[in-house]
Amino acid sequence: MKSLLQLWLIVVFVMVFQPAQARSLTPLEGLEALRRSFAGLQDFTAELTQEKQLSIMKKKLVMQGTIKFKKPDRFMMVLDPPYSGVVLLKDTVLEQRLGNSGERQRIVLPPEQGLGRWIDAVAKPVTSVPEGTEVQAEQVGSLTNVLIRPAKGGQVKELTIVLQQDGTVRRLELLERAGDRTVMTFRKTRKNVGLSDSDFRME
Amino acid sequence: MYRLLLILFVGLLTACSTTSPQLPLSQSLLPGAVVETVSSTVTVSLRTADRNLAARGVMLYRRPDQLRLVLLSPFGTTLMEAQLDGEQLTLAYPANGVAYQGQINELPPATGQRGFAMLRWVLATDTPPGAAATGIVSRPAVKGVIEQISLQDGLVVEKNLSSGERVRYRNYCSHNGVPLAQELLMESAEGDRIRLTLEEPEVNLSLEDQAFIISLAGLRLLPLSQLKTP
Repeated sequence: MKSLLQLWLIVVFVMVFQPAQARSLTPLEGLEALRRSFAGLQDFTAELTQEKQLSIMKKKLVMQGTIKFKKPDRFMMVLDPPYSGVVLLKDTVLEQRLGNSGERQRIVLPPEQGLGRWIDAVAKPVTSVPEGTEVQAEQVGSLTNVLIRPAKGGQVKELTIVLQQDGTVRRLELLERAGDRTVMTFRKTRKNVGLSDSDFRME
Repeated sequence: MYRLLLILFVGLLTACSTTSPQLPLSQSLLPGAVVETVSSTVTVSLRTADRNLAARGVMLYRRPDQLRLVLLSPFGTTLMEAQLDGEQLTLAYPANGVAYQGQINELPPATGQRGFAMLRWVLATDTPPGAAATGIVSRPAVKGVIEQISLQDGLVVEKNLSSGERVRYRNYCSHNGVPLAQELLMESAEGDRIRLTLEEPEVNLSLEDQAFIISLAGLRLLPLSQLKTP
């Protein structure tokens, strides 16, 4: 009886503490998972932690804040002190205010770099992996990890996106060719909360 | 125009910033203490007749003339890097896969040459020997230009060149007895305004030589003279 109990405890222990098994996905499945995550999305808000590890700094640059997004082309990021700042993107118009100076900058991007174009591109069904691009994807428990290595020559060496089961982005990691790494972690993500254009204003 | 931003230096430490842009320092200073190195996150903004730009980044400085500056996009990727070592300047633009390297005086005039040429002048905030703690000192600078230095309580708060350039040093703080201006406001002779503020600077810490070297791997290296105005 005692040995049976021990065996049962071992089985329970293994079931509870065994790491989630990773299941490989094809590159197309990975890209499609990204597309799906955006398909049912109209807007979202989230808390953000952005960690930047620069090769020239011993310590990490850690910024905290919030982000908002609304289709088709609105994005806003508000960073908390000590790295306070606001970034507002309305398609091709980027406004930002950094630090405590209160000065506001306004930059008009070329049409091809507008947020709306990017969102349109992401929404299209994925039929093939872009030439020169390497994609690895896996399912680990409720998370989908998609690693993209763009064609050689660009600034970004690797882009890793971690999606939650409901399609929201949990983590985004950028590795640049020079070795600098940026990790953005999203928490308290709320989808389709009914944001309006008036929620995207700089005070 | 981001290149022009590189002449900026010195900035703002939140803990020290007050509504007053100037002195007095709340902490005591060590006599003769000077800035040997600075490591800091920075914000840089540039206002010209046709541009209004800003970026956050990281800056390293080692006396007398070594500088490394990395400017970041809002999402953390590197917009540009600069390294200054004496008269040699390297500018890297990872998104474009290109870097430029050469002597400062090889910079094309329309791309901020004057700013780089002024860098040493901007960074030199030592009090002129024998000057009164508060007052104005005039002395010859380079190429026949007259330099006017305004001092307040033993610190340089403003410098002007007779050729039209001006730099103002604000929000001085003491870092273990070493005075450091946390904000620098500079005006070129053409009227361009540049502001640089320091966020959480570390002063006079040892910096490794490697920190002042830009990795040019994968970038097309061109002479500085071929730098184009963005």
